[in-house]
Amino acid sequence: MSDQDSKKIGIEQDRTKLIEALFKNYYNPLCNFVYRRVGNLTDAEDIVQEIFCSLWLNYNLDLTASSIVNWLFVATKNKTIDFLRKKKLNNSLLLNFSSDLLEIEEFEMDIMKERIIESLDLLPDKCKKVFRMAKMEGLSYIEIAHKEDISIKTVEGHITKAFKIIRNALKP
Amino acid sequence: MNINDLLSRYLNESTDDKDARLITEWSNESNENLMELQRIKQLKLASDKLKEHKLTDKDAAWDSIQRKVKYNQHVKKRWYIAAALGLVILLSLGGYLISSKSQSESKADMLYVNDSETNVKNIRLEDGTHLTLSPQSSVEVLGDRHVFMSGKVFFDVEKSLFKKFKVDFANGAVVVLGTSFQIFASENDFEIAVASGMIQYDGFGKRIVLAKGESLIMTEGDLVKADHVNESSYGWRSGNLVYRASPLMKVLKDLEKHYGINISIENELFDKIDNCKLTTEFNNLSIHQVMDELSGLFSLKYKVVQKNINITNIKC
Repeated sequence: MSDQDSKKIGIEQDRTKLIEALFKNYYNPLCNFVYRRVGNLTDAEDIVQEIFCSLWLNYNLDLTASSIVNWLFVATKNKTIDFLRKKKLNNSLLLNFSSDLLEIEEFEMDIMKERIIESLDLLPDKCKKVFRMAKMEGLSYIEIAHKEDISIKTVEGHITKAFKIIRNALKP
Repeated sequence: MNINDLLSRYLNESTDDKDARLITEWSNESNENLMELQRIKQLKLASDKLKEHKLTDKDAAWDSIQRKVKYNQHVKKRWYIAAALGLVILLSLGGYLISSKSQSESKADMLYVNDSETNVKNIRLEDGTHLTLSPQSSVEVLGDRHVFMSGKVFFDVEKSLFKKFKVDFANGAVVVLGTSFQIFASENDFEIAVASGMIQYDGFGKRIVLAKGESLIMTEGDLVKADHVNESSYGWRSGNLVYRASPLMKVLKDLEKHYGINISIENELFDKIDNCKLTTEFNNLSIHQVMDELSGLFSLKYKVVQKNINITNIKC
């Protein structure tokens, strides 16, 4: 294999790794952003997958990670508007787009939610179960205490512990 | 009290007025503390909305992205090779015929493209597997008993107990030991039909086993498994398309796959076409010759733009 061939393979591997990392962090947040506008998860996933394909095929190694994230967000937003126009859905769905700043805040919130979910794997089993019941299934502490046959104080203790671990995991 | 415990309790909404005052005092001590409190407020807000957060099957999504990228790279590579071959043919006019031809063959030995508009192309791979490519189809050899395909291809796979044969396409992969089957695959749809033995399909996070006579079809995102694959489905391999009282709509779908083209029909014709049936044989004809024959039989009118055919009138 020539030097040029191995260099080419090296660049291709770097590109795959970087895109995989971007995918891991931003795929779900972007799907959620689109889902709230198109109203179904299958269409949302199709749109975001197309954006990642396009990034992969046109990606330029000179770009910084933050400019790629910015590109991902803007490209996804534009693709969603195109999708809604093509589907000729009523204008009320197009009105779901607010100011750029509010949208970026909304996207950051989706990223935060995704990072919380990713960090749940760091929690002890029982703590993770109680946190999921409280925050993802929306059960009250009383309901959890009843279901798990533990005291409300213990539920509170699990949630406090969970937040401590999540906060540490999310530290910049 | 330890500030970290206090902040964790704040996140848990178990703080009282005194705790809230202590947190405010702490945040006013430095910019860093203020920023940390801001971050914690965001974390609290996000955790309160976790219930609305939709989860996806990320492994299946990543798989799908990789396949679509591969498909696009494959199509692009086809264009480059077609352009390179065009250039080589042009150069050969100047007297370089022999040397240029051998160069072109060595460059294209890992990618087999059937550029013919009428004939099927037969290929034998190194392991003895036999492939039949319909017009405008292609197969790229990725490794030992591993290929990527697009278009419509019939595989007669040489049996090996030790090494599986794998076919990748835009929306999945098929793994076999030794059997025969055909795949039609475009960027968004595919159809697999098994002529002998068994195969395993992997895609969209699913694993589906198909036996002889069964097929798997994906259209508009839905996967449908069916049986009763007709033997005539494989007739195209000899270059003959045979139809016996076949619904015209089905014939047009078949022509799309065989010739790698798109056929669209004006909306108002859908009702008319439902009653049209066709009995005929097309022997090594180009799509233009086929459309001419259909025009004679059904007073069919159509427009052609590149690889798209639009039917504007029909009578049965």
